[in-house]
Amino acid sequence: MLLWGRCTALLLLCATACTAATTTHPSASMPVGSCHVMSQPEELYALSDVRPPVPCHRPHQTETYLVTQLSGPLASAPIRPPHELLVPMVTAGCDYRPIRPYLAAGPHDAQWGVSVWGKVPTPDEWAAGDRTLRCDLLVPTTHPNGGPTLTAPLRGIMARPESAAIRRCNLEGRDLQCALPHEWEWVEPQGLTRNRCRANAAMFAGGLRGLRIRLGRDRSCWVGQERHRISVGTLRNGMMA
Amino acid sequence: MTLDQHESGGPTAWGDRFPDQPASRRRRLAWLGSRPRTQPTLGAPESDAGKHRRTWLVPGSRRARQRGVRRYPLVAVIVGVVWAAIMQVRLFAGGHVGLAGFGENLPCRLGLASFGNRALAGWEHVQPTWTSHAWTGETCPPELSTALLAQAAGKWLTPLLGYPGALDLRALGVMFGLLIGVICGLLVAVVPGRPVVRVAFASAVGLVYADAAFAGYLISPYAEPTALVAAGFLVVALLFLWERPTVPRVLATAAPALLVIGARPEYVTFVPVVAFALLWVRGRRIVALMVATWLAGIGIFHTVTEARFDDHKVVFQTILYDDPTAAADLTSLGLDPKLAPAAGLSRNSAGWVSFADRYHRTAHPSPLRVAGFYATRPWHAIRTVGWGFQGVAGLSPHYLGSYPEGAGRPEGAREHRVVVYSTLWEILRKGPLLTLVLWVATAGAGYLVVRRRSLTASEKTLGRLAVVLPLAAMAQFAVVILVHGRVETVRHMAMTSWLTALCVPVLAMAVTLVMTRLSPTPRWQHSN
Repeated sequence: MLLWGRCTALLLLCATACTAATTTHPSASMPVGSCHVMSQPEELYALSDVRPPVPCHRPHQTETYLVTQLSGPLASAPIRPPHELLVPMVTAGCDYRPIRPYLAAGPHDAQWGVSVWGKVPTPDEWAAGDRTLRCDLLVPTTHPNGGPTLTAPLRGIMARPESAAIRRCNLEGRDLQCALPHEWEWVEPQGLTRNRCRANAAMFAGGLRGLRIRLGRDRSCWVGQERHRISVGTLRNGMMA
Repeated sequence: MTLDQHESGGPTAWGDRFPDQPASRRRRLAWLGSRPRTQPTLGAPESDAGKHRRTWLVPGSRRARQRGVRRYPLVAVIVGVVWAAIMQVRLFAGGHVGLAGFGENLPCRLGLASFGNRALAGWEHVQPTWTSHAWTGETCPPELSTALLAQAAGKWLTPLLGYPGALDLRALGVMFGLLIGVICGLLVAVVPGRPVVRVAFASAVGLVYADAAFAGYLISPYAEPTALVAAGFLVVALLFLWERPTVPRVLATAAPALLVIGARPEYVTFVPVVAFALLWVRGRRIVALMVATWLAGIGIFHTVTEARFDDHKVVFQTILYDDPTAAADLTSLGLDPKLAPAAGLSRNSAGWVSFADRYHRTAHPSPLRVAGFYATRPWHAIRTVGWGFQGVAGLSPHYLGSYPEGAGRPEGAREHRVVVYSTLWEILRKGPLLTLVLWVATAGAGYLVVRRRSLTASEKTLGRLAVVLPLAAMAQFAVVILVHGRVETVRHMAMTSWLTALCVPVLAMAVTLVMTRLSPTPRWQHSN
């Protein structure tokens, strides 16, 4: 009886689902700096990712900044623990400290909207002993109705004009990426006096010629172009469009 | 109900109820010819004389004439075309409507992905366009459903209909709408009674599909539309089978039954019901048994491989919901009683995180153990059954949007283009237990129809349907409350609600059949 069911199910599977087959890449062999396409929310939320990485100049969503090994009592489990238990372990394992050096962020640079997503081995890889933890960075979207997309590597991005995608700007009181039209751009750190903000902004932009500063209520420091001009891109020294 | 059929063995001919009709000699002969004088054994060969007498009297196909059953092919075709058109108009006129596929990613098995608005959660609007996408690893769960066959057909239809993407759910809507027309047409052919009665019954079934509670599924990525449409064909096939069981008819029943059972693991409840329906015939029982065994094999295999029993929904969000004896109940279920403070928490709630580790280290009950728990604690069983009835009475998944984005409708807005059953269900919402009354009444009326000797074999097919429908609804209801508890009950009860809605016209037919044959003396004779 079950044989009938199995045969029919296999026929159905071949008739419908064979198109879903595609090549995979082992979790353990994803290097730091590899870029990954995760255009679907399901791909982002899935615990593992074995899609082959893509060149970072091609549209992608995440980039690996850290590859490490899972440790602790759960890591010794022969079967991969469920999602709820892995999430705290992944959160603890993906150290945030390497992020700023990876982005080449200076003291006046602040990354904005970048989130960390961890990937663990597939159940089969886990059962085979693989405990690789891959930590990826996801950039915010520049498309209000679409998923995030980046066409440049995040490694050292703060030294390049593409960093506008992960810098914080403001337009009419609304925070957004500097890659979108904006009036003000955030300068690190905050909690400053007006003079200190002016000095930091000058260092940030390489001078304040044609620029003005604003001190927010929370004493945050902002720099923008004169005459309330709307601009796209970052004012960071040497990166202005 | 079958006004055109002669009542053999009874004191009067059925046509005698209408004083104007017996006046026609030809019509009288036609009624006589529509059915043998003596009730033949189902499947038994008929005499040549009987065949010869009827073939020129009764309209319809030659085979139908030979069997003494009228098909009204022209009426059937007209009704089928009209209902196919009604469904298209209902789904597409004034902009298409459907059901938001919140969290549903079944088409990924066909290498498809929905590139909708990422700023939305998914419940707000229908996102009809799915494009080709290469899924890898565990990003696309290895679900297996017969709904994939329908979606593959939709994929094939999409470019032919000029829709964008690799699969446009509107193509599914067109296809399912046409199939519903076919169901309505076939019902006219197989349901007993005068044409007007057949048309009324088929239209009542068409209205179930067209109702706002079910029509949205036809343009959605869920497995439900395939199951609901296949269930319609199953009803037709069973009526056809019960009319006269032959090997082709038994085999023809297997196809829609397989589509229903394979659509979702919960639909395994159709296995015993269909097996019962198949075996409820005289003759061809060996073939019926073979088909039933085959269906059981597929159903069990599908359930074993696909069903993932999530005891969290059943225990923490249902049994422990607002439960003053949570710790004791956890112990009874074999779970750690220290998890009692997690009662009512969903997996996504922040409070659950602190219990996750303990939950995964404790033992987990099987569905059988949960069923045993309900059996020994009537209070819990009554509560959960009550939530189930509320789910059936809810009928329509009100939290899922019907309109596409950009249609000028607010997020999550529901359409109300056809609301006949939705309006009728207001009564059930006021008294959800009336659902049970409806099931019992339908089954009871069906039993009376089957038992009434004055009714023809053709008429009794409807009685059998009236018995089988509530059985299917109850079995499905039981599994849904056991597996899903009170979590998203309305959507999980879609099949139960559809079967329950179908009980309304079937009950009406069954009651009419019973009532019209109560009196041995025709009413018109009393008046004379």
